[in-house]
Amino acid sequence: MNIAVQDAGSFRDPAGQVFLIDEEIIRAITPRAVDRFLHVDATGFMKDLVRQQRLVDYRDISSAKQCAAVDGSAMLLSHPRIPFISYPYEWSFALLKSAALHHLDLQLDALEHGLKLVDATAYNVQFIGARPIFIDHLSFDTYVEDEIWQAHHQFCMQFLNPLIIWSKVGIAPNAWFRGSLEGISPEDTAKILPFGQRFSRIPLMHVFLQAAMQRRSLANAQASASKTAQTARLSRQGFRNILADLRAYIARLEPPNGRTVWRDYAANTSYAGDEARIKSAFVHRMISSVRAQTVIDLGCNSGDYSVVALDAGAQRVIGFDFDHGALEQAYARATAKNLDFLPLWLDAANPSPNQGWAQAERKGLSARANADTIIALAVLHHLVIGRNIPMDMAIHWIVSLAPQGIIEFPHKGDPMVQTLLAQRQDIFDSYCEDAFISSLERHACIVEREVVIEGSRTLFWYRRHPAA
Amino acid sequence: MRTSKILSVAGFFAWLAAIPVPAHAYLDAATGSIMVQALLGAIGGAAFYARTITAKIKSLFRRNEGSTEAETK
Repeated sequence: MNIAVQDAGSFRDPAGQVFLIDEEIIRAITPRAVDRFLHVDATGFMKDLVRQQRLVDYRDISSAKQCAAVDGSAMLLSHPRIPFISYPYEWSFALLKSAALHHLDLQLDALEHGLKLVDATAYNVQFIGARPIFIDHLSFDTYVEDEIWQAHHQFCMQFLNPLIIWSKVGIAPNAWFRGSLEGISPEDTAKILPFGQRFSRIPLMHVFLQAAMQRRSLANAQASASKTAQTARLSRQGFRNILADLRAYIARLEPPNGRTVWRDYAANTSYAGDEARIKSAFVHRMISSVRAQTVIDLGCNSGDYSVVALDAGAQRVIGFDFDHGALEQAYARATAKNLDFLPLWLDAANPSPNQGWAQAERKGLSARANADTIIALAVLHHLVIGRNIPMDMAIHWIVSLAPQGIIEFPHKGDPMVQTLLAQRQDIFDSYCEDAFISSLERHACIVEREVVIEGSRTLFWYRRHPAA
Repeated sequence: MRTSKILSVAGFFAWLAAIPVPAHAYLDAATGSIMVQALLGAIGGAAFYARTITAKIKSLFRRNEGSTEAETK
């Protein structure tokens, strides 16, 4: 057995850690947590969840592989790999809402089996396509009658507060969440919610009242915390009511102006027929000829070309876009057609960094990008002209995300480029197709070139130079 | 038992109003959460009690129909 590499995001839980051993995801369970895990496992609840595709599958390999491979472990589980790990600050409204509901449903069902979830971190929910799946088998424990919901505060920080701020204030919390990995506190949320939210039951109790009580309790911190924790009781029915209440409330939350944005997109994304046909045919030909498996669709919009890639035989598409309206539409499409398509939020000029504890707990985009193919259509001008990224750097970055793919070059004469230039002085003297080609050829060889509209749009199919 | 729960809710608010404010947020982040749950549990209990009483009174007037649905919710 080879060297075990610990996942940098898994170190807090004394019950176990996740390792990468021989390209396999292995969870090592410590002696203190083995009985607890076996007890939960014996209820059959986790295997039910696996069958329902709500929990990542697990296999006991303690006998097959020596636990000695991981110091101090008493049991080893093997898990299938999640195709792409995403973080809550990369999720659209619909994804965060879906993850929140997934968590609550797990907790509600767990309770029926006499079990509970000990935490409520959004990082324990991942997506396969647009379908949520829970990944932490050591979060389950036996429910003790009348105990309070330990994870309530965390649930509010990670799910409820960002969703309420998003829906009721109209601020997408991604940038905030990225800076504050623990989530958004009730105290901060209470300060920015509109006054009227005080008359809505869930915000009143879970945001305003919680924030007020928190502020009050800090008066005599140690005494109040330990005393409250010891004496507080919550009946099973009370717990169930809180969960069901939160579930019903979150299920009704809508993104701000969600419906109108969708309608606008449906109306505006009708590209000129010929242009779309040529692009689709080229993408289809490239994807099927290279037998693409995992495709990144950079600037995926509502997913038109992600769907083309899937139709052409790609196994899955990870889409990225900056526009939340487009992402909502992409999500709706992925779920309606049950596509293996995960549309995520990304500012390409500022992708997710390595961060968290030791600057390694949450990985940056490039460390997670495991695509074999990329399509970057109608993206380059946003980076070069919209954000002043020198063309060579922009091309280098795109090519670094996948060894092969298609990059679209929008010429200066293109109406979209003209729109970008209308807002600023044209300082982009070297923005031309020749410069594009010489830059691209520094990093990759050009397999094929296709003119979509003469003097307006050209597509380049590249294959990256092997690393020197 | 029920009365004590209702009293505890009332007492809770009185206590809430009486305590001064200031600050060691890093010591315990979740006390507010625990208090909210205790309160929600108590309110839920009181509401459940009220519903049961209402249901029992209603059932007095429906005795002939032999309805027991009041007990189920």
